[in-house]
Amino acid sequence: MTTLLILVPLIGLILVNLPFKNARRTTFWYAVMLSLMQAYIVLTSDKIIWEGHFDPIEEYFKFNLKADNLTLVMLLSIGIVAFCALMVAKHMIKDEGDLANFSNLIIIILAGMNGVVMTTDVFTLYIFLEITAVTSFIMIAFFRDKDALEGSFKYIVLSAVATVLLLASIALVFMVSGGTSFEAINRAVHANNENLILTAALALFTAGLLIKGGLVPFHGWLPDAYSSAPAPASVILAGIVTKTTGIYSLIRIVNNVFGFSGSIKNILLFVGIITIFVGALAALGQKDFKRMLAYSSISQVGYIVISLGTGTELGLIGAMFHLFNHSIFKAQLFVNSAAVEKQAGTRDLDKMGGFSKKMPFTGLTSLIACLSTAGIPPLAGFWSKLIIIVALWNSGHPVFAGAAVLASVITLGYFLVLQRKAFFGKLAEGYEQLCEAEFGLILPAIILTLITVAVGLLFPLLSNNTLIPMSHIF
Amino acid sequence: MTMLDYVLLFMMAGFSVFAAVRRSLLQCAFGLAVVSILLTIMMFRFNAPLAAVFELSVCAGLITVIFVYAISLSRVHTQEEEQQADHERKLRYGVLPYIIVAAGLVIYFLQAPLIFTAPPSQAVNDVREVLWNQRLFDIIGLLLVIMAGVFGVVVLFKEKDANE
Amino acid sequence: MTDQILLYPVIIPVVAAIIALFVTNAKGVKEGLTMLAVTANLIIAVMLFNKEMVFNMPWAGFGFDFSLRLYHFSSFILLAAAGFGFLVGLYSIAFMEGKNSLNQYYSYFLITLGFVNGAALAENLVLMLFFWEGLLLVLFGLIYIGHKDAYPSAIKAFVISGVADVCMMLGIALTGSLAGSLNMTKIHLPLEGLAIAAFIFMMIGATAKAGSMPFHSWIPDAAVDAPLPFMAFVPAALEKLVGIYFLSRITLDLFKFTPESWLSTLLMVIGAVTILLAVMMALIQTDYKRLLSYHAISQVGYMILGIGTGVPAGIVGGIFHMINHAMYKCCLFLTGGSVEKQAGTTDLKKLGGLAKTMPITFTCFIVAAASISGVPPFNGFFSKELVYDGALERGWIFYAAALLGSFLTAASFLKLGHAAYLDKPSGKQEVKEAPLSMLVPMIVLAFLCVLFGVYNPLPLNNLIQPILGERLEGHNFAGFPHSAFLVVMTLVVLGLAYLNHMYGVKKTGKGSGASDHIHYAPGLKGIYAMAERRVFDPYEIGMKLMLWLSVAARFVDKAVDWIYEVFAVKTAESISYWIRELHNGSYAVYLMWSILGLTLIVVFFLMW
Repeated sequence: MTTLLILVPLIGLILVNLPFKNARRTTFWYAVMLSLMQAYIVLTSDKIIWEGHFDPIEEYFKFNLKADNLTLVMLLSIGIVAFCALMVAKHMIKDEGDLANFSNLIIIILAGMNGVVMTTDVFTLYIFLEITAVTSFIMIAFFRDKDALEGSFKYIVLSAVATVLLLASIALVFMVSGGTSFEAINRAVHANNENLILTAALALFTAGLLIKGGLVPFHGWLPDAYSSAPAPASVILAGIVTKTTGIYSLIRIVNNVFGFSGSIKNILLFVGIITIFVGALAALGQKDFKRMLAYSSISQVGYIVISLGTGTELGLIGAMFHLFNHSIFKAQLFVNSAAVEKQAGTRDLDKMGGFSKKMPFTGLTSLIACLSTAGIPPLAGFWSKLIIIVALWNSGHPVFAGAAVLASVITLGYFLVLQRKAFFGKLAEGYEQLCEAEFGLILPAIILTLITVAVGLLFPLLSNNTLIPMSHIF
Repeated sequence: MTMLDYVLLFMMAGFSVFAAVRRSLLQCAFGLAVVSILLTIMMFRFNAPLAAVFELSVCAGLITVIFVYAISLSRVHTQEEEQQADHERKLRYGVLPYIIVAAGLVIYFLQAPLIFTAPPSQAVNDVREVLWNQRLFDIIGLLLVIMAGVFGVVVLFKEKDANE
Repeated sequence: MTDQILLYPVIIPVVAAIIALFVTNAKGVKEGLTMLAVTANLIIAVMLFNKEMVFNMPWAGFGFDFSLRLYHFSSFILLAAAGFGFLVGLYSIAFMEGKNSLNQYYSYFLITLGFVNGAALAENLVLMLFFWEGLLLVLFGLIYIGHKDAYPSAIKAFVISGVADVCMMLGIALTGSLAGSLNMTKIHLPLEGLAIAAFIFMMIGATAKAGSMPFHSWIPDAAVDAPLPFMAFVPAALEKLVGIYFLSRITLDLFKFTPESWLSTLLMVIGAVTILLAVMMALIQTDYKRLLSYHAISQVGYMILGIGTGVPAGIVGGIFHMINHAMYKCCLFLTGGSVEKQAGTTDLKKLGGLAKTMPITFTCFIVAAASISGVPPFNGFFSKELVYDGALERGWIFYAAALLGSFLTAASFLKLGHAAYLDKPSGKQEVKEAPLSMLVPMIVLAFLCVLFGVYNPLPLNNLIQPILGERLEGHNFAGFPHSAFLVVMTLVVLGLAYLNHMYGVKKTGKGSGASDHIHYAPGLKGIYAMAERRVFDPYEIGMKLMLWLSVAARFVDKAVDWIYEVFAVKTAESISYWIRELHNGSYAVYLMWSILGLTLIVVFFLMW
C-alpha cells in the first residue's frame, strides 16, 4: 500500500498528460480522486496493509517505505488538504489549461509529501523534500505577478540554504554511519556517543528543517510566500506543505533518528517560544487578511515545536495532534480568505466590515476556525493546546507553559481583530452587492469546520482510541 | 591520490568559479553540469559509488536549472545595472581563494577532533547495481523532480512567450 | 439483554429531543414524537427494573470512564422518572396546546428526562456531574419559554442552581482526590478532615437540586412564570428524585455517615428549618401555583430531615417520602394546571365552586391534598410517620418542628381546597371539566397515592428497603406504624388544623381568608410583609451585596482595566509595530537572520 501511494500518482500523472483527446481535462478529477482515495484508505484501512508483508508490489520494488501511526495521520491530512486546495483551485482558476497544470502540480506535491512521510532514509527524505519544494516554488509563482515572483524567489533562496544545510548534514552523517537509512544512522548515533561530527550534523539538519518549517528566525520567506501565492496554493502550502517538510521531518529526525538530547530539547524549546511570540505579535499588527494568517501560522508552528521540545511522550502526542488540527483549521482559514478575496476583491482588512451579513457561511466557519486556533473549548484546538501546556508543565517547564497560555490570549486577540474588521459590525461601504461564494468554495470550509468541531467534541473518544495508541510509535 | 585526481580537482574548482561568475545563465548551467560530472568521476575513483550516485541525483543539473530560471524571472536589469552587478560579483569572488586558504590553515593548525569509527567498506561497486537495487526509490523521486521541472517550465514560460 | 441497553434511557429521550427541536410545526408531530419517546423510555425502565447491570465505555481517559451502573436504587429512580415522564408528557399534549415555543418545550422536556436518567445511572462522578449540569441548562430554557417576561425568573433559577452546582463540582473534585477514584462504588470515605468539606459541598449541591432552603427561592417565582407541566415535572418530581437520590447516595455510600456525627444534626436542622419556613410562607399564599411551590420546598425538608437522622426509620421514611411527594405534588400541580386551563386563573380570590364543575379534578385534589397533609391511610401519612419516628429518636425538638410543619401543611391545604373548590365563585364563569388526556395522569397519580398508602408494603419491601440492605438492621417498616403515640399525635394535629381552619373561615367568611389570622397576627405580620417583599430571599440579598461589591470593585476594575486596555495593548502594539518594521521584505535581511540563527544553533550544540 505504501508503494502504491507513490506509484499511482506517478503513473496517473503520466497517463493524464499523454496527448490523447480530453486526457488533460481529466487531470483535475484524477487529482480529486487521488486525494479523496488517500484520505479514505487511511481512515478505513486495516493496520495490516501498511506493514507490507506478503505484498507482491512491495516485495518487487523494495522501496523500504514504512507507515506508522504518525505517518497515517500525516497521510490523512495530506489527502484532506489537497482535496480542499483542489476545490478552491476549481473556483479560483478559470482557464482550463491552467487548472490542468495546477492539478498536475498538486499530484506531484501529493506524491512528494507521501514520500516524505513514508521514507526511512535521510537521502530519500532529502529528494522528496526537494520535489515538494520545487513544486511549491512553481505553485507560488503560478500567475507570474510581481508579488508572487518575489515571494517565490525568497522561498527559493532560503530553501537553497536549507538544501545546502541538509546535504552537508547528510554528508557528515554518511562519514560516520556509512549508510543513510534511519536505522543505520540510529545505530551509529548509539555507537558513537558525543561524536562531534554527528552533533554538527544534527545541528545542520535541524537548522535546515527549521528553515523549511518557517520557524523564527528562519521564517523570513514565509509571510511573503503565503500571502502572495494564489489562493489554492496558499491553502496547500499553509495547510500541509510546510508542516510536512519542516515539522514532520523534524519530529522524525529528532525522535527516530538522532534521539533526544539535552541540547536539542533546549534548542527546540527556545526556538518554539520565540516563534510563538514573534508570530503572534506580528500577526496582531497586520492589515492584510492572508498575511495575518501567515504570521498566525508561524506562531502555531511554534506550539508544535515547543511541544516536541519537551521530549516526553505526552509532548509528542501534543505536537502531532496540534499538527493535524493546525493543518485543518489553517487550511480552512485560507479557504475563507479565498472566498472573501473572490467575492469582495480585496484582502485589506481595513476596507472590509460586516461581511458576515452577506457571507454567512464564510463568516461562521472562519469564526469557528479562529476560535479553534485560539484554543477555545470544546473545539479541536483547545484539546491540542491543553495537551501541549500539560506536557510542558509535566516536563518541568512551567515558565514555558505559562508563556504558551499567554500567547494563546494574543492569538485570540488578533483573531478577534480579524473577525471584527472583516465579518462583524456594519457592512462596509461599497459592498451592498456582496454575496456568498459559490457552493464549491464553501464546501471545503464546511468540511474542515465539521472536522474541527467533531474532533473537538469527540476528543474523549479519540484520546483513548487514536491519540494514546499513537504514542506507541515513540 | 594520483596526478589525475589533482587535475580533476583543480578542473572542478575552475569550473565552479566559472559557473559562479558568468553572467549568462546557459554558461552557468553548463559550468555546474561539468562540475557535477567531474565530482562524480572523482567519487568513483575513490571507491564510493553510493556517494557518486547521490551526487548524480542531486546535481543532475535539473534542480539547479530550475533555480536559475526561477531567479531569472524575478527582475529585469538594465544594461548599466548588469555591468555594475557583474563587476561586484567578480570582486566578491576574488576574495574566495583567500578564504579557502585561510580555512585550510585554520583546520590544519587546530587539528579539529574529527574522530569517528571508520565506515564499513562498500560491498557493491557497480553503479547499476547501486542505482537499481538500493536507490530505486530515489530514481522515482528524481522522475518526479523532472516532471515538476517540466511543468514549471510549461507554467512559467507559456504566457511570457506569448507576450513578447 | 446486553449491557448497552443502559444507554437507551439516556439516548432515546435526547435524540427525540433533538429531532423535536427541528420537526415542522405541523400539529401532533412533536406530541407524537414525545409520547413515543416517553413510552419507549417507560418500557425500557420496566424491563430494567430490579436488574443489576454495569456498562463501561472508555471516555475522556484519566479515569473518567463513561460508566453506568444499574442496581435497585437507580432502577427505582429510572422507573419513577419514566412514569412521571409518561404522565406529564400525556398531560402536556392538552395543556400546551396552542402555546408558543412548543418545539423548545418538548425538546427541553425530553432532554430533562434523558439527563435525569443519566444522572441516576451514572457510576462515575464526573459523568454524573455532566448530566447534573446539563439539567441546569434545560431548567433555564424551560422557565425562559414560559412567557415573555419570564426572563428574570429564569436567570434567578440559573444563578441559584449554578451556585449550588459549583459547590457540587468542588465536592466531587475533593472527593475524587481524597478517594483516589471517581467511581461511586469504590468510594467510602470516613467523615474526617477534608472529607467533611467534601461532604458538605456535595450535600449543598444535592439538597439545592431538591430545592431545600436556602436555595429554594427560584421555585415560587418559576411557579408563576414557567409552563405548568414543567413545575409538575421538574421541581415537583424529577429534581426531588435526583436530589434526594444523590443525597442518599452520599450519606449511604460515598461517606461513612453516622447519626453520631454533627453533620447528621446539621442536615436535620436544614430539614427542619426548610419545613417550617417554607410552610409558613405557603400558608399565606393566595395563588394556587405559588402555594403549591412553597409546599414543594417544605416537603423536601421532611426528606432531608429523614435522611439526616441517619437511623433506619428516618432514611426509609425520607426516601419513601421522596417518591410519595413526587406523586402527590405532581398530581397537585396537574390539578392546578387543569384549573388554570379551564378557569383561566390561579388566583384563589377569584376561584371558587370548582368542585361542582370539575368533580374529577376535585377528587384527585382531595386525595393528593390528604396525602400531603399526612391523613391516613394515604401514602404521605406513612412516610411522614417514619420520618417522625426517626426524628423522635434523635431529639424531640426535630419531631416538634416536623409536627408543626404538618399542622401548617394541613391548614394551608384546607384553605386551598376550600377557596378553590368549595367557595362561591366571585364572578360568573362557565367552567368545564378538563379533557381526558389531562385527567388520566391525575387519576393515575391519585390512585398511586392511595395504593402506596393502603398497600405500603409494596413500595417499602420492593423499592425502598432493599436500598438500605444491611443498614436496615433487620427492621421492617411495612404495614401500619408501630408507635401508637405518633399516630395519635398526628391525628390530634390534623384535628387542630381543621379547627384552626374553621376559625379562620368564620372570622373572614371565605376560604381564601382562612389563614389571615395567622398572616396578620401581631409579630408575624411584619415578618410576613418583609418576606413577601423578598427581604429574606438569599438571591435578592446576594444581588444587593453584589451591587455594593460591584461599586467597590469598579475602582479596582478601572485600575485593572488600564493595565489590560491601555498598558497591555500599547505594549503589544509597539512590539508588533517593531516586529513589522523588521520584516522589510528584503530577502538578504531574511537570509542574514537565518545564518545568524544557524550560527547560534551550531554554537549551542557544540558548546553544550
